[in-house]
Amino acid sequence: MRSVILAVLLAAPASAAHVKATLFVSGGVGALRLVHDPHWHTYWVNPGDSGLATKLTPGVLEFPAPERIVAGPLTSFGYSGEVALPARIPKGVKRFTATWLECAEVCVPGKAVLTPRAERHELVSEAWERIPQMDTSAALGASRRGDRVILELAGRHPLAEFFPAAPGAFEGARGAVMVAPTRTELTLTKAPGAPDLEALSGLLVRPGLTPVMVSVPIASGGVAARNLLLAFLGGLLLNLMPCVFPVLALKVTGLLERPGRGHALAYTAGVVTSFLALAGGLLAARAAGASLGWGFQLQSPWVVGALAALFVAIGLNLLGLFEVGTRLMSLGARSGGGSFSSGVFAVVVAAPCTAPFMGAALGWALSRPAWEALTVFAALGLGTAAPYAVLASRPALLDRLPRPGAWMETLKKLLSVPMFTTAAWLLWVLWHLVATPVSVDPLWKTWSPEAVQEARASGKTVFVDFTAAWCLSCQVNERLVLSRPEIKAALAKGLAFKADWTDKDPVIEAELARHGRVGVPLYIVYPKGGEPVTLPEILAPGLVLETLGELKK
Amino acid sequence: MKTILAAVLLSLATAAHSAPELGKPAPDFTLSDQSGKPVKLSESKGKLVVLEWFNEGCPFVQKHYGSKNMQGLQKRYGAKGVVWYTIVSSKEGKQGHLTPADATDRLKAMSSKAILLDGKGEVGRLYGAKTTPHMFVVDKKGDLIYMGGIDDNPSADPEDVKTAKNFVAAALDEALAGKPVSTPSSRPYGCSVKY
Repeated sequence: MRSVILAVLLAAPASAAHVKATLFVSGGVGALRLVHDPHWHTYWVNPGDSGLATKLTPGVLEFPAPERIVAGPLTSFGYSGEVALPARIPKGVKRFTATWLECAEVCVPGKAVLTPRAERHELVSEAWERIPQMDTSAALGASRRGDRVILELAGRHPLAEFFPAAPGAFEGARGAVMVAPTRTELTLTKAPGAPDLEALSGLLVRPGLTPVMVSVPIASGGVAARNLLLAFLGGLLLNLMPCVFPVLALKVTGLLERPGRGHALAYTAGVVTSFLALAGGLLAARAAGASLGWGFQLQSPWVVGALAALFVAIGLNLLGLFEVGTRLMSLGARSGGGSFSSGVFAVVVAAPCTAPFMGAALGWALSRPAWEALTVFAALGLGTAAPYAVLASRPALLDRLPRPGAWMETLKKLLSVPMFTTAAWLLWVLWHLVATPVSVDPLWKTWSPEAVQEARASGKTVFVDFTAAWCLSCQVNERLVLSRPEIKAALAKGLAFKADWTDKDPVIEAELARHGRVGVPLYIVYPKGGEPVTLPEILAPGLVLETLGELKK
Repeated sequence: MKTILAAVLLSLATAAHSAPELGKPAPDFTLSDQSGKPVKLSESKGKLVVLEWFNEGCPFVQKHYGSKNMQGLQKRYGAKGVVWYTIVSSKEGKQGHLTPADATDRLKAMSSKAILLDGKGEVGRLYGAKTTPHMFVVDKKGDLIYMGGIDDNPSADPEDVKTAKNFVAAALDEALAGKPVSTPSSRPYGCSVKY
């Protein structure tokens, strides 16, 4: 038996018979043609997770666009079928050695001594035409986020693939793709132990377009700044959300009656403090292992009920039916404490309104070290407080607003409408929380990781809608985009799943976390046989259809 | 349902935290050796440990065994108190899979402390083992101090062993001398692990 082992271990590698190599020359340049048996492949210049690039001596090989070869958790980059690798060869040489690694399930090193053949000129010229050229406009930039590098592309390319040129620098698996209306983000994960690269170079393949080489510097410090800016903008946008606008409107009304710089500071302090408190609490709870996401406070029926009651009270107050409250509020306003507490109140109701940008930024933030997360939340708070703070601290601006008068009573009455609307929305959320929601539309199946896996295995395009009754953006997307007949028809060709996060659900929570999110909405498309594509938080019908493969660009 | 949930959470947890990090504690595991005895990594605390991913059918593994390079390293560092584990993550029915009886047999031609059987690929995935060979060195505190290829010449030619710079030997020499490892990581090369 022992001799058998040694024989196995010492055995010369099995002869390479699964790939046929021929070297053609034409006009001083060459092309190494490799013909693979079915299921066998050879490797690109960066072989990916395993493998070895094909070599020619003497000479230098160029490599056309490869394909991803997936084997379990490992992904390699290479070729199957027939490929012609352009070869730069020295003049006058008559003998070349090609070496390669050919793999199917198993791997065998291949080697061939080749005499160049002056035939198949068109094969040589076509191979040279296919050498990917550098494109300086395809990639907008790259940035580092922890152990990931995000490559940003111009335009929408849900099916884009990127092959990093540096061997061993990144994991081979095609990372997550996020498409926005005018750009696409590809995620690359750094290989364990690999050094941080200064620049990202590689081959970009976009269906329908010629593969191109791209090379962009990787920004490190800029990422945090960019996320802070996004958080600030997200905060600004929150003011326009139905959940915050009424609070802001109320505050501005108060300001017209009693302007003062103190209000600006107190309100800002209130907003920032409560965002920090919420984030701190969330970070602490998550550190302790609790399964909590952004907007979690609206997952408790008691909180929702209390908020609904509060909004009704404010509405009645505005209508003048509830004098005590007004007196209390004006009392508070004079001391500045009122502005602080309305800042707190603004945050409590604003949190579930995950404005565009915010989902990604907050997901990123909560996965970062605590101080970084808190900085992002502070920026969010400053953004939220900014419009009111600017108005309050610049009496000149305030002067441009109409003077207080009888019209204010009318305005107050009008403002009670959004208050009651918000209360009605909260009651609707409450109803969803208390009553078990029934999936009315048979198109939507209940999500589970196993169901998605099964559906993908059966070769169907899968769409997953991570939603919650209390998430306004989700409702807007579902009403305005996902319920369109053409989109429903496209979804019906594959399988559509709804993951309802109205109540706390650790499995959904874990799946959101896997996609770097801590809140909804999240839309994921798993194209037929492809890697998942994340859609933006505000859906556009064209983008959904395009990603589902219904529209060609 | 609870077990499915647990499995999902576990797989997510490993997916999220599996990437082993240099200078951080090496992920602990328990695997059966060739005789069926459970072996726990953390039981070797206080000693240097080498983890070597192995597939006897892989030409790159054969390069290092055919040239006696791997057995030589196992013997040389074993004598210096280094614990050397050879791990097989090939799935049943795939190239390089070993039964306990096979492993007992193969071990006779090696100088590893044990062959650890990881037919489910759990430990391979935990460490992100990509190729055979793929090498990891754990220091006396249990921290990971080297991960990557065995040397700097990714070829299948046994002749190249002589001229290549062996990263594992260098890491072990430095660790034994109490020095920091000068090349703590490199690109692993070889056949893909047959998960």
